[in-house]
Amino acid sequence: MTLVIADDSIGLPPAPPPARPRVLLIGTGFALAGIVLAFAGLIGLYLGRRAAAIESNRPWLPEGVTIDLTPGNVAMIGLLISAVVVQWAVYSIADDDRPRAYLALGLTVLLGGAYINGMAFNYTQMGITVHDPVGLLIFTITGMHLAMAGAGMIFVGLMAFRALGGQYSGRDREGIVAAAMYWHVTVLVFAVIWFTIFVTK
Amino acid sequence: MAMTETRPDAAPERAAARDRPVDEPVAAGGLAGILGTGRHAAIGRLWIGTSLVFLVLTGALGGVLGAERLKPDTYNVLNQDNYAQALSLHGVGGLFLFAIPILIGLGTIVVPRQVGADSIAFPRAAAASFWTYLVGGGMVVVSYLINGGPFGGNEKGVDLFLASLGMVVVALVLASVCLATTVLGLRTTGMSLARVPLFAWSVLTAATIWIASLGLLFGLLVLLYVDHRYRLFAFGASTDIDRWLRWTMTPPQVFAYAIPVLGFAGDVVPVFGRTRARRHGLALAAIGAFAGLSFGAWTYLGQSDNPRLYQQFLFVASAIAIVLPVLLFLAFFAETLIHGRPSLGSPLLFASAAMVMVLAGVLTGAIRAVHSLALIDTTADASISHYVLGAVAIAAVGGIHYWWPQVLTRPLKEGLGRLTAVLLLVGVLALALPDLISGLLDERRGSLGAVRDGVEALNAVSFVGGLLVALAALIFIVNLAASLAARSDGDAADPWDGQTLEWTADPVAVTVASATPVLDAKEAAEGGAA
Repeated sequence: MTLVIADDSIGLPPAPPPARPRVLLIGTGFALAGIVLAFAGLIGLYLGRRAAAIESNRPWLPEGVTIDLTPGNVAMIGLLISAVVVQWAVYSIADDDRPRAYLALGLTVLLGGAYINGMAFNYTQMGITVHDPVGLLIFTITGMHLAMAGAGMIFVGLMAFRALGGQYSGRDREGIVAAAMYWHVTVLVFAVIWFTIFVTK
Repeated sequence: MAMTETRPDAAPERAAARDRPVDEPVAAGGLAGILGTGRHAAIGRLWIGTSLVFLVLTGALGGVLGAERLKPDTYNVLNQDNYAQALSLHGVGGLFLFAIPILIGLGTIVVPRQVGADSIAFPRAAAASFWTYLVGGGMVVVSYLINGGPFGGNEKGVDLFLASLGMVVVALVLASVCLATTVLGLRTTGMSLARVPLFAWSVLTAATIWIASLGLLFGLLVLLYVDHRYRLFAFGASTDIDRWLRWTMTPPQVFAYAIPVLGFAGDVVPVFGRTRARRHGLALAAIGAFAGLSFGAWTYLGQSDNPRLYQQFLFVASAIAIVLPVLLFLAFFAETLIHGRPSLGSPLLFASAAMVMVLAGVLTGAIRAVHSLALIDTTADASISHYVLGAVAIAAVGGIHYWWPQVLTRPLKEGLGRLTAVLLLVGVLALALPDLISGLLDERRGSLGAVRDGVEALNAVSFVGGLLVALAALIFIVNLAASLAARSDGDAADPWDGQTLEWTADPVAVTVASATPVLDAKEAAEGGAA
């Protein structure tokens, strides 16, 4: 039995129609807010310390250390492509084109793996270690981003398996949209890291 | 037997089992039932019970610290190192192991019912967040016991502290995500955000602020852990960890832990004023503004890299501005009472006492922001923390008294409740106010030493205040134990003539078209009967 309660005395307008439940999407949004702030704090600290070093004419990067732009660019381009691909998955599932959605989700995970592999290679080339204050900041920020990308791959993969199990369709694609949103933010966070650490150094 | 005939039931149990949906699990009992529960009420009770245990621990530690300050020129029970460690555990435990968790517990029980949801969002994540908090919180305490934590001498113990506090922070963020999603995504039909009960609204705003600020704290803890784990100490040794955590325990961030206090008071006042909530929108706006101004993650470099922060306009202006929403909310509180026929139930006493604490806290915060008074890093910081912790403790105990049908299913003694509220009010004021005056007399926080005349007497008053709080806690525990030992009343009752959805027998079945749907239903029923 549904109890409907009206109120005339307060004079509020009629209640709007119920919103479509978007629980996973809302939850993902909140979790992403926390993650973004974690990076914001660290990147703010990195920028603050770098500005202080420049202001006092101290070198920021240790002697002999070069942060090559090319690996950073490759990682950035790879992630940008993955952002397009994951959005392709959303549009495909919206059109009930399941084979293309599977392909796009699989490609997203693959590109995520390529990004992690590329960054791991980059670590070996940078000539900086965690035993240096700057290296500590760089490894913490990029390492946390690798963890974020890894979690994103699990999220996308999980949604892909759910889709394979027949869960999502054009009418209900919340899980895929939530995973895509997570992935877009992952790419966005890396764009800030790329600009801060790789471009402006 | 024809194909269309219904087969006769062999036994009622088998019929019930057959009627149950295939994917619905059978509820386990005993320890397995507790460990595997996804019911929001059970998870909420676990949060509340565990946070009360941590309160007893940090409160006892506060007693030792208070006794130590009776003779502030020398160390008597503790030495300089473990005094600083004890002070650190007192702060970390009070905020991260008690204040936020107990409010999460209360929210986990009450909020889904208030918004007409049949469960909390992501119940398994909510359960996981509790168990992560329990393990992480336990390890935080262990890290101090093995001489770790801030100011600790055991490097591995310091590593353990950073890792376990990180676990606690993740747990709190996860629980906040579940609560915020419940309010935003699982509201019943017709319950727009403007019609959400004040406690649910305050939990939504608080959870949002906690997710953002604790997210930033998690990033810092990872950095400090890596720094300390590799023994680089680029961001300071164990003695410097406290500096990196200070922003979480001082204004404006410290006020973020008191946001649900306003929501509790806002829900209680119309019920005990026996009237409708007046200016619901104003109360929503005041809580929202208070939450926004309490976001303090932007001050995270104040103690380490940016000491000039405390002289900057934004810091001073926000510290003063946060008084305004509290005054607005108090106007809503007073107006509702003035236009009603107040009855002095214990929840109203708790709500009033908690609001006094919030007001005292923000006023002290505004005074602290005046740079010429040089109150930063003095005992004025402790004064504000105690006001906030006091407000949370009073609201939480008041919430347990008010929502006993949901929290305990057995009533608490009203007389003992009123006594607890009065003792807490007097005790917390006596505990916190002298610290502000000591701060004005330049008593530094964090260590003992020579003090000006009068500080010793102020410390004695503060200690007596702590004893009163301990007495109130003891009375509450006795009341709680007596209640739990009594026979359950069974189904949730409505002892206060509540006005929000949690007081209906089945909140999920209600379609809301009013800001006060339960009261409307009662009035409609009374009108119909007449």
